[in-house]
Amino acid sequence: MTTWQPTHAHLRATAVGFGLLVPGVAFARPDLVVLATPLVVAAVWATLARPAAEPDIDCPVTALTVYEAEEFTWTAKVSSVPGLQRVVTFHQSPQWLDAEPENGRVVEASATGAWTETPIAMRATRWGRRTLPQSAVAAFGAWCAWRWGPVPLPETRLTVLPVTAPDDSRAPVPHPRGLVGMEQSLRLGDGSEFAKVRPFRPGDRLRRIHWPVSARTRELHVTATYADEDARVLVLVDAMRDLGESRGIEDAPSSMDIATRAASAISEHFLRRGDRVELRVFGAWGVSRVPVASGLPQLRRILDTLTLIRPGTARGERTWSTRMSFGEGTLVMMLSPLVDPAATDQVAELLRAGNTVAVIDTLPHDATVTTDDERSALAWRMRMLERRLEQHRLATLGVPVVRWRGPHSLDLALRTLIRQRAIPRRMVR
Amino acid sequence: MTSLTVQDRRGNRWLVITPSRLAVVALTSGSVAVALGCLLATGHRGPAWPALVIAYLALIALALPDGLAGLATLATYGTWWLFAVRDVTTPWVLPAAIALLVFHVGVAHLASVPAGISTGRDTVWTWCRDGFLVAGFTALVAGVARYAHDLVSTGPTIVGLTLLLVVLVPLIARRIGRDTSDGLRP
Repeated sequence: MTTWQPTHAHLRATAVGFGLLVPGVAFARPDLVVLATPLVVAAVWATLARPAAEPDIDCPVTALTVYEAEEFTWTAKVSSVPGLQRVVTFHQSPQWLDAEPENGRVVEASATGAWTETPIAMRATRWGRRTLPQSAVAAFGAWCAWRWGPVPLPETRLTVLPVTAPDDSRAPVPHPRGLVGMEQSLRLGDGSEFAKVRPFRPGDRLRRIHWPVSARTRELHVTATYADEDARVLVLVDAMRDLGESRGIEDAPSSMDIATRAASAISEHFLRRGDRVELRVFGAWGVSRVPVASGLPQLRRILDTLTLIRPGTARGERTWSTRMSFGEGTLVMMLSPLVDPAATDQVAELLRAGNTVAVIDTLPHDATVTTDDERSALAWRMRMLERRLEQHRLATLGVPVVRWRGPHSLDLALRTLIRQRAIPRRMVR
Repeated sequence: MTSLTVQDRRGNRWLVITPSRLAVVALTSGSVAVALGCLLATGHRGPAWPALVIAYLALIALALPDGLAGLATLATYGTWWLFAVRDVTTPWVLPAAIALLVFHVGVAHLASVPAGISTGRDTVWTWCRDGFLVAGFTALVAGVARYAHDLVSTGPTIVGLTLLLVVLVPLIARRIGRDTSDGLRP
């Protein structure tokens, strides 16, 4: 249990102060008395103003969810007791977290309020889940002569969601299948998008009759529309490796930074259009999938799952595990640096199952090996050549490979898919 | 940013410097220099090498403020003053006493606030207010000592000053403590 303890400062003032005062009196030396005076005064003052009771600590925030680059305030509170003069909070910020003040804060005790607060402004610079470790609070009496603590504070669990950039892409998806949503269907049906004017058939709604054409042709005609449908989108994240050095939201990203931010942007784009989105991750242990659903709560589920990714923790995972139980015609947006052969195998499996696949290349622009070993550098160059060849093969199979440069990269990928929709291709079942 | 931080890629911090800590270290170092200068200016007897010992101890106290080096610094200084100073009414004793107070406060503050934490305006104000109170009282004691030394013999002067310390200081401290607990602290 923590109690108020005298500090070295109190020992110093008492020992040296009275140590000079006694010989000053004994040897009749007024200069020694004057030298001793400030220290004696400080020692007596501190003794008389000793804090009487022990303060309480309150750390109201124990779990917090924020977006990347979002600022928030972390506060520790210490109850005011008589004699309490100063509260010191200190912490060691984990990586990817900016704090202001950076290492802690010293605050004079509140003279009027019941609590003394030590607010610290923080800003998360990378997605993920982490804790605020090594935080502690200490209290001091007058002249820093009495110290209470330091007392470690409970850990604060911090969930940092990947930031989602606004996307205004208007490209349609290739194979919408549902019956609600904003996508324009391939077939005619009940919707709002005009298709053509055609002769009336039994079953047509009367409000669809196009009276000008019917009067001119003397035969009933109706307005046909395209059905409004939704699409099923699978966002597939390659978490086999994290390539490149991540330096936070405002600096160079790693491949996983690009993948998670792109996945969040793609998911938000389709979910806001009313489509159904599913998330699957391969290469990370403990994170597998978010079942398909629509609506903004699904976006939050996807973002939460993305924060759990620990790249490279399940490299032995079989590729077929990602192609289970989703139907033909699903639009697959695969986010991968295409460095591991398993990623290319995934694309092959998905194409074979009849899915429409677009690959978002998440390899950072400046990714390279950092070692001085010539063989490693040579191996990296060879792998990059192989990667270029694989990208060319994917393009010949009708799989667009688009480097992620923001939400507009999605537009490019979708328009490429729409152009290739009319081209017949072989499908293995 | 409130500090200059040297850290590795994993986020381990090797050096943290804040402007306020630099200011406190400079003030504390300067107070030791002033105290030594006052002692050397009194026309002391004996060698001057204890000044190097005191400076060395003060450097240790600055590096490890939450330790006994500060006590050793002040004790060594007091002992040297006891044996080296011949003029017991030297006017240099007042700046020396205030310099010792500044050193004591500086080391106490460095010990209470870990490296990298900036000192706020309120903290500076509290230290200045308390420090000026004690320095003023020390000046009063020094004035009384010098004035009484010319009128009466040294023995009664010392006894009187000691009584002044023993009686007045607790009264002042109790009054200040009551004021702060009543919410009169600025």
